Amino acid sequence: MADDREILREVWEGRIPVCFTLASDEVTSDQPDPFFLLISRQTYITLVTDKVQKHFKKFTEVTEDDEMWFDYEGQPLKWHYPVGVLFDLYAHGIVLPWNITVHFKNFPEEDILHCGSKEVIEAHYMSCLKEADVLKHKSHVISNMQKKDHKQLWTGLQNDKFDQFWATNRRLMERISDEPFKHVPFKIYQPHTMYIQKLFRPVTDQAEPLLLKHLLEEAGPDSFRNAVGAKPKILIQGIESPLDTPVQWLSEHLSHPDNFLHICLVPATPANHEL
Amino acid sequence: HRLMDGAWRWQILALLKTRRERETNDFSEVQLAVERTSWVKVGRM
Repeated sequence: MADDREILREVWEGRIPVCFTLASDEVTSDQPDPFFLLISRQTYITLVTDKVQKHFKKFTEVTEDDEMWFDYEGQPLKWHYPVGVLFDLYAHGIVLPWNITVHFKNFPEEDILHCGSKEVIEAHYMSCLKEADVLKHKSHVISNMQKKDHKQLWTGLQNDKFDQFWATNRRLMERISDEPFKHVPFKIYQPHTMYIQKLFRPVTDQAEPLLLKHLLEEAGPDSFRNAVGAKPKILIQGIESPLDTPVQWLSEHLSHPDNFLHICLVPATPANHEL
Repeated sequence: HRLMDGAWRWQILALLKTRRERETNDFSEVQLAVERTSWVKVGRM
């Protein structure tokens, strides 16, 4: 089970400095100052940007129908990916802070889901959590939880409360009867394409632990497996985990609060090769 | 079924600490997106 609190705490404490700027073609008065926030890697961008909206609304004409959205260098940011995944996928290796552009107009319907309220984010989060438990425990753990336990997970994430979150999440990370997870909930991302999700058992039929390299060999994209020369960087929670790390342990300790292991494959560049 | 610690565990911990230094520690003056309130309240009897 996930009992290495030193690692869990360090993962939880990951935060990214972000500099928000209003899109220049949407400014209708004086140019507003940028707005800075230190944002948890674990959260969702639309969950923590009320202050950003309030700050910039005064400088543009916003109607009731307008919805705030974000881009980084022209790439619309999907709010339903955790902040750390968006950063690793599109901005790994940049000079910080991360410069994000704020929009209220021309919502990119093709790229981003609407997010009308925090209830939408909560529904998405709970749906991911349930899917993860179906994969790990055939849904036995989450379906035996009470509504208040679900709420405790959500409020722990929303209010950035590590102890509150893990008091309940530890049950979702348990190995029932000391057995590893049935399957490991994971998603493999690459820039500008759909993520990959497959069934993967964390041990062999002989109960030998399978490692990160085995997961990538089995589930990685063809372009990764067949790569000749420089391979992409493999980032989980912003770090390059050793390829001989057992996948069961990774799932227990480096998953996001939605209980999925989010793995980003990004091109190795001169700017990021030493990070 | 138990998994033992390996060298990878210490490597991951070191990488996470380096990540914090690079991404967070240098920006400690930046406002936190979620304010962290204390449970301790000071009041007069």
